Amino acid sequence: MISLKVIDSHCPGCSILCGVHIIEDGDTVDIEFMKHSVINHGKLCRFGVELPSYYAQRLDTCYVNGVEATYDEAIHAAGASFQAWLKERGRSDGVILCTGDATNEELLALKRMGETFDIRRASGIGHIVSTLGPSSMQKKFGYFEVIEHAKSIVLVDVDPSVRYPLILRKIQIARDQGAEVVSIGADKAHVSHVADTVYAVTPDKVALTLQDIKDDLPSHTLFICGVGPYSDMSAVVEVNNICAATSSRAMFLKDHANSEATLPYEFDNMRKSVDEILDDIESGRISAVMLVETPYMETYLDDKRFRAACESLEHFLIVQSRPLSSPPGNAIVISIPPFYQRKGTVVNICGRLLEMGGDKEGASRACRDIITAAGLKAPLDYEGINEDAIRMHERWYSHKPEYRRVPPPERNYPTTPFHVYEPNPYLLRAMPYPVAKRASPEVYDTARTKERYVRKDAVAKGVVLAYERDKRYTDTISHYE
Amino acid sequence: MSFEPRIIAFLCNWCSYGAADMAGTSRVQYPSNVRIIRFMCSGRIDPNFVVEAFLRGADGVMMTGCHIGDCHYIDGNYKTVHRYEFLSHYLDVLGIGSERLKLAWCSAAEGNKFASEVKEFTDLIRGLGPSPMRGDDDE
Amino acid sequence: MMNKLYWGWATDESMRLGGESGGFVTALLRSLIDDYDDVIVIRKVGTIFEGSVVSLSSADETKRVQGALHSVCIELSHYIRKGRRTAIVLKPCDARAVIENIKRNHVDRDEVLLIGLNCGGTLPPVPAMNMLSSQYDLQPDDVVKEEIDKGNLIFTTTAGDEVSKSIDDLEASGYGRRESCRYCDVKIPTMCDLACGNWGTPSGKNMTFVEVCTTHGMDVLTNAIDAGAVDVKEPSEKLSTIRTKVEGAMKKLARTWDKKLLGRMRDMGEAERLEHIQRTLAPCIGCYGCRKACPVCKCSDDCKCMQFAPDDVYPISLFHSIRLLHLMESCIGCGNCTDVCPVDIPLAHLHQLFARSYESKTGYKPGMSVDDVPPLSRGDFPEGY
Repeated sequence: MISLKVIDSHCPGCSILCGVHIIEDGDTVDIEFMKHSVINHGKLCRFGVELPSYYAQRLDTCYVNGVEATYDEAIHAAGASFQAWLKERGRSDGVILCTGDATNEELLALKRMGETFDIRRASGIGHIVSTLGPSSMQKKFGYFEVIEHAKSIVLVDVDPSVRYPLILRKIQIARDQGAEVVSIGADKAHVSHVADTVYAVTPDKVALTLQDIKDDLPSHTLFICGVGPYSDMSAVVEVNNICAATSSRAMFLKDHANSEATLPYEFDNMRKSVDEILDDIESGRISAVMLVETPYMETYLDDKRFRAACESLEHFLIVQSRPLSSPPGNAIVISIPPFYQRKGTVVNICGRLLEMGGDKEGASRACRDIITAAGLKAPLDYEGINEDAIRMHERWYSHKPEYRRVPPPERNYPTTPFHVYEPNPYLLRAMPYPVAKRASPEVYDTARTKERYVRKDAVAKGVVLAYERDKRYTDTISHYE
Repeated sequence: MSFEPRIIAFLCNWCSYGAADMAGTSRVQYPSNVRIIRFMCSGRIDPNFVVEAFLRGADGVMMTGCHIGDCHYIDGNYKTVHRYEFLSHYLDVLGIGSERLKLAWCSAAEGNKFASEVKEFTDLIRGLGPSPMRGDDDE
Repeated sequence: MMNKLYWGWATDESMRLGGESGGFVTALLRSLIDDYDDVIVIRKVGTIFEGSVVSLSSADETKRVQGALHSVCIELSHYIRKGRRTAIVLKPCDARAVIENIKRNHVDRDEVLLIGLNCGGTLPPVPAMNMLSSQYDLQPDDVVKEEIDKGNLIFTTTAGDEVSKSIDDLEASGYGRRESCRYCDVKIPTMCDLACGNWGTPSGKNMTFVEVCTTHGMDVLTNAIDAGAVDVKEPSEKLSTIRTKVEGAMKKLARTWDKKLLGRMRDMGEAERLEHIQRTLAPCIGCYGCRKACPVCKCSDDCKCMQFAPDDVYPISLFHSIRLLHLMESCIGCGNCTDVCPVDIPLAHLHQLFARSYESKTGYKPGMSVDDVPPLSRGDFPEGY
């Protein structure tokens, strides 16, 4: 007898990590709003509401070089692959790319695995500014309450109607109390109802616009700045440097779940963007890649380039819970349980340490097994990592770094003038078409097709379910089968 | 430019559409403001259709069908009545006003009646002015 | 059938003293656990403001049942699955939602046992935690129980002290119950099989006032008495009257709030009201959260309201106008839509504005009885046409 199981979880949509109850009922997954969550008071954006269809897609099988394999076979193949790579690597590097959706324990396990094999780690957000942590925010109010009390707000490359809608109402409250809101980058039609001044510029102009207007801004400005794999890092650095010079503060909203945790766990020692990593793979400087919960072969904007670069590798490992439509022939694919089923902790954008309600281990188990299979040793037992994760979070959260100036990146991002707020096509569904249209037509079309694919699937399922519920239609279903 | 009402009329195939046809063949004049949509039965007029008509800028909506007791499907127009009452209440609370929704029965032989109902309703709407839901005139 | 009234309590002494109001509901659930596939209750997670739903599977687990938990406003009707015998403990709005779902053929009446709890209103968890620190000078960890009694909101601390404040004062300063609870006029869930509560019980006696509303409820109660799990006796005339009076006073207060919160919209002229509704709905970001959270909105994704984006170009989005239309005869006023709206649109007020005026016109109140047929579905001969 299958019984209902309710898991107190967090939404994997972005770094805010809204609380949500996941109802597991046999194979189906449903959500319920978690009204006691201090982060979101039960409120969710469209992605959160659509979580059941997100979680309905899972990777259940492992693959070795494009052929289905058991978990043990895949682990052994991975261990052998790493052993071989250690012998033949020469001066080349390896990289573990994890953009998010991993718990703190998994990040820590990956870090230790990286140290064991001497592989570098990357979060896909190039040029991480070291003071981006929430502890640099003033602590007079709660993290998001800061927005309500701000007198001047600048939105840098953030469209709150589309991305991070939960801060929208905070901005509205601030405006009711007389705050001045400036938006740079986002579409005029989308932000004109929350912003007094709108600079609807292309992404390559965001940093320049910021430089132009920064002298006119009040000294106590709150910057709300989007940071993700596609962000213009020169704008991000500009915001950081303004905060270092004045008493302004910045709130950096990140694209993926738990990408905030890359700071306390010092996961990212590579500090390169996805594009730069691709450059390195193409030039041969990187010869081994491990992708953890980063389904960029199918979801990166330039997914063809990503796939081609990865398929040229000899040592290529994928660890993820998202489905793969066609596993590459050179990859070892290890499936892990979906985000909500994992146990451990996560850190959200306010720096809170949050408990995940699941009871399974994700990538940390894979790391442990691979290291054992490769004949090496590392301190990777779950209880130990969990303790370390909590301790490291405490240490990181208690020290309050000051903003300090950082040199702007050598290269401006992005080089092509496209504009997207939703890097993940599963999130693209939540994107209204006018916004998508601002992206290059190609990206827009991809978004549309991917959206249609997901929606159609969900709708068809809904219809079948509706029919199944109603006894009168049982004949109809069997007729069409 | 004077205001010309935009009226959507939902007609049933068996009676009121016949009435409109009759009005046409017997050359009875009625205002050209009305856009006719034919249904197999007035009982098929989903309240959603009426709401959508108003959202798309209709100034008035007519629901027409067979007289009670004459329905081709026996009791299809009973449903029409219940929906009409439901919708009029909805329109009142929403603030569009139930007077912009009209229910009329016309048998296939009542071409004159159909024409006069349309004329009466058009005049009423012309007096009421454009629907508050109607945006810029962008037909 | 005239509803039977009893005072009930758990026969198990420790349960009677340890549980809330004589442990009646806990003992009843314990006796039911083998007969039902799902026994659904809210379980406390950490403080009394945090909870999640659990399906009890063994008698030991009934220990996790924690009273009514009025600060955990989870919509429970979502958790009932057709084809599974379910016993569920719920508040009146959940019960009304279940009744509406039975009418929509999503739940089978014979499969569910509804144990209703009297409800004077629920508190929104996060604002309630803030209220606790700002108004009561307590921390969420410090309190073990909350109760609404005689117009006061009372918190019991871990030390056993009771701290009480007038709800009117709290609500005047922006705290207190959820707004949809303030004007809710269903306080005793008589649409359930059993309606339980502590109104009209002798003080200090650890008893629950039970109203048996259906024959099925009577069978369940008789079985539980036969099995020795609970015991009942006839309540005194005087205290039964007090229970009715408490309910009456609450309903009167609800009417006042109804005037305060919805009256303004009712008094508007048509044009003004339309503009007000348009303006209220304008910040919608199209998350569909209200639809997901709505306990009576049970169409699948092929519903008409989903065919257009909520942020389409119409003056009021088709999504919202159709939801207002559909819910006019089925909104039970649970307030879930308001709770989950990321841009704080008071949707429940709008839906209730429509539903209540329709109720006063037709006399049909959704969710009160399975036998009530909504006017739109009657299809009977229309008089006067």
